[in-house]
Amino acid sequence: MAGHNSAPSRCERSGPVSGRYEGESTATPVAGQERALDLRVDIDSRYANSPVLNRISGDLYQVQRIRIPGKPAQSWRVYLESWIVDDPDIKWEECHVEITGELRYWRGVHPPITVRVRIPWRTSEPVGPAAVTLSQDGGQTWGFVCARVGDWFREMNLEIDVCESVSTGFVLPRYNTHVHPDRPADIPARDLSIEECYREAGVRMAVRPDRTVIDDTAADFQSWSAVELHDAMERYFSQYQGPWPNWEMWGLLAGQYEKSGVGGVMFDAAAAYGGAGRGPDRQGFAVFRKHNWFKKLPAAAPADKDQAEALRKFLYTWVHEAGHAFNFLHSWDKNRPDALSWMNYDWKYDANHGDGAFWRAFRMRFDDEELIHLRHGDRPAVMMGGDPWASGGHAESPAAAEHLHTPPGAMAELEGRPPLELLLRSKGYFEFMEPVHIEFRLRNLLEDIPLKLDIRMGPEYGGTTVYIRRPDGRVVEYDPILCLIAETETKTLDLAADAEAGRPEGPDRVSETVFLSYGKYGFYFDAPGEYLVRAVYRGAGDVLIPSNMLRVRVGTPQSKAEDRLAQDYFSYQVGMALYLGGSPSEYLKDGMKAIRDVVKETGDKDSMLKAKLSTVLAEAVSKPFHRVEVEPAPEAAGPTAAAGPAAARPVKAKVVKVSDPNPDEALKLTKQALAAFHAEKSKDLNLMYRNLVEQRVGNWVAIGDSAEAKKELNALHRDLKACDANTNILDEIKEVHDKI
Amino acid sequence: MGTLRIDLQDGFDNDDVCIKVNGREVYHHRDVTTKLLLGLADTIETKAEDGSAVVEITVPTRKLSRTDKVDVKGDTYVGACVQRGGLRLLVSSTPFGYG
Repeated sequence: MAGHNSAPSRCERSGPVSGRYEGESTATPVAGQERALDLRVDIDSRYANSPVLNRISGDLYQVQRIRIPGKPAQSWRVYLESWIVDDPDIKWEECHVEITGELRYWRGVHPPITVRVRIPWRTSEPVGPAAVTLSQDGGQTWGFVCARVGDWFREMNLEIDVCESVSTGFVLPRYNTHVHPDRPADIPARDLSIEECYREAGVRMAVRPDRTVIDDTAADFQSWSAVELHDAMERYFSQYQGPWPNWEMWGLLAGQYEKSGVGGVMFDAAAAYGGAGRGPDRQGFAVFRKHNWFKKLPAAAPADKDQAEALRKFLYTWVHEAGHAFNFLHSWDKNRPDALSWMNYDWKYDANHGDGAFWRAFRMRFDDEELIHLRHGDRPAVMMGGDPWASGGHAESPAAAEHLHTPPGAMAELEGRPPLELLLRSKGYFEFMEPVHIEFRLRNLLEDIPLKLDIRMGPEYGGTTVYIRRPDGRVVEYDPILCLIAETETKTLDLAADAEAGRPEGPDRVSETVFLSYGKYGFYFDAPGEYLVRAVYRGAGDVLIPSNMLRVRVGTPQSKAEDRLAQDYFSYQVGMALYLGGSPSEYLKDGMKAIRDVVKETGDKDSMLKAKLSTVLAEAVSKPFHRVEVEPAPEAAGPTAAAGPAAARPVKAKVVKVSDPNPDEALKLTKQALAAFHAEKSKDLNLMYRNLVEQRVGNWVAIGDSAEAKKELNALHRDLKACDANTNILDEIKEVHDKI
Repeated sequence: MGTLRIDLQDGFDNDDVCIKVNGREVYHHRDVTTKLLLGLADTIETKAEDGSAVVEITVPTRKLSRTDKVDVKGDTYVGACVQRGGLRLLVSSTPFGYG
């Protein structure tokens, strides 16, 4: 027998390997394309009462940096896509573990890519870092070094507010698993809070310490609706104005729901599902303290079975509703009615298994499929404010969206400190059929150096890409009709505005109105409902700046006549006429007629639908129109038969003027539109209002009426000043005025 | 005398639903749809004497019908759902909860 080796191992592992790792690329196939990786390793026991799922998964980011002389580099990252390895090969060695497998991406089509993860350890040293290699068939390889962050897979914050009517007593439950006799005989005794339940599941949930008490004591207020809850969230959730999607969640302890049988609700989902119908989804939920379930909730430790049951149900409701915000459906809706999960109903389970069966078997956890989603699912499908509720749940993609081209990370957010901001803004509500114009604004965020940028923000120039999430949840990329190739139009944006440093707002930014109603694949805003719009600016270089997520609502037809007109309106000819800003072309005459019909027959006089369409009609008559006329050349003398049928006769083409500008007509057409913009006085319409006045000023000048032109510019100046327009814009208007 | 509360639970999707209690129509609605967030489509409450009550639920859009005798004792709760092509009724002395 060999002698016993008593030398201490140099590789005694101090803890689990599993958990979250993060790091940046150390090797890239394309120079300058830096990536970052969030890696989740789930191959050994990382926490008590938490199953091992034998999977690894990752989120990939593009890393961008800007180097400012004399300062540390400023960096930010943009989420790209997520992947999972379902059944990795795991080789445990004395001093490291090696994990290999093939990536399965949640979205899009990818060539086969394999991953190799090597995680080392040494005695008395923390585990890691993980060396990760992604290898694509054909040889491209990415390398990463990822430090271990912790034994969890996701991190998020939960903010809790409380209604005054239920603000006495404890807000969040703490329940000992042995306090109720109906439980699995061998369930480990432990105190569970909502944080601990999610910690076991693999999510590090931090409850924010500050709480707002919301006054719900008005005599005529009885119960909450989903819409009212959403409204409360918008008002009180401190993170609501932040970027979305985000790892932030809001919970409200409220009195009672409008349907008294409801103990809690994740109200932030489509109205068709019973939610508030105001995206982005899955930001908040509510628990109703006055529900029958919680009548016997004890003030301290439960003294009897009934109190224990109430406390257990209270914990269940908090965990269950937060689970919906992580995009969980109910168990039976995932075809798992017998699941012992936080997402099942006890009485539903009992209906199949006998009274009390659920709690006698439930081990206070999510089922394995749910844990896969929570720990390793597609990031936007898990993250709050990402994919719409019910579009994840292991489908991981909005229903029926498979045929649509949805680039990975289309609606993703930005992390870190970019040098530039792309802001999308518009009014929040568009009338049915109203052309959708959105202001794109670029702003320099740097306080040290001005930025010279390509300021063409229309998607036609290829510098921006626009994604639109339609009311049915499908994400589509806006594809313009025209692709324009032109020289870069650069502008230098001054240092970021700073009142203390004497730098005003205005020179640090530039705005453009972008028309998005119609593109290569037809009308993008043709159905009533809520739309989310996000753009990504690339400019002339390889900078990548995602915008905020803009939410707009398209209204419903106001009359039968309007609904009927929509039949002719949503057509190729109207779409093209709108896209081109009006056209006298005979090929679009039906479209222009349909636009005239809508102006004539719909809306009140100040409607924006009428105003915008009138502007399109006026634009068509504000300029001369030329047509290319083609005439066959006179038949040439001599033999033609030898040339054969393929030899076309020569043609003669010439450009002829078809119509002269008609400034009087243009002014007449837009008189009401001008009044509508003047009446609306909204900052979101400033740019469009200015464009309209400039069109009219051109027409006044064309008919020799400078006085009227100046009068309208003066009115525009006053109105925009009242709408907080920046000084440089007002100066530009004054300059035009003074030149006339 | 108590309250008989009938919850229309899972599986309804733009359905016509008619409910009679002891031969009296207490509910007749079109486009009844389960809200996925709650597992609940609608709730009906009606007064009922203690004792046996005949609850008849028909869903013409699915050609489904079911008649059950329910023991009413004080407040009584009935849950109806469309499941595996049939109508299923649950009776409970405590209210069903949703979330």
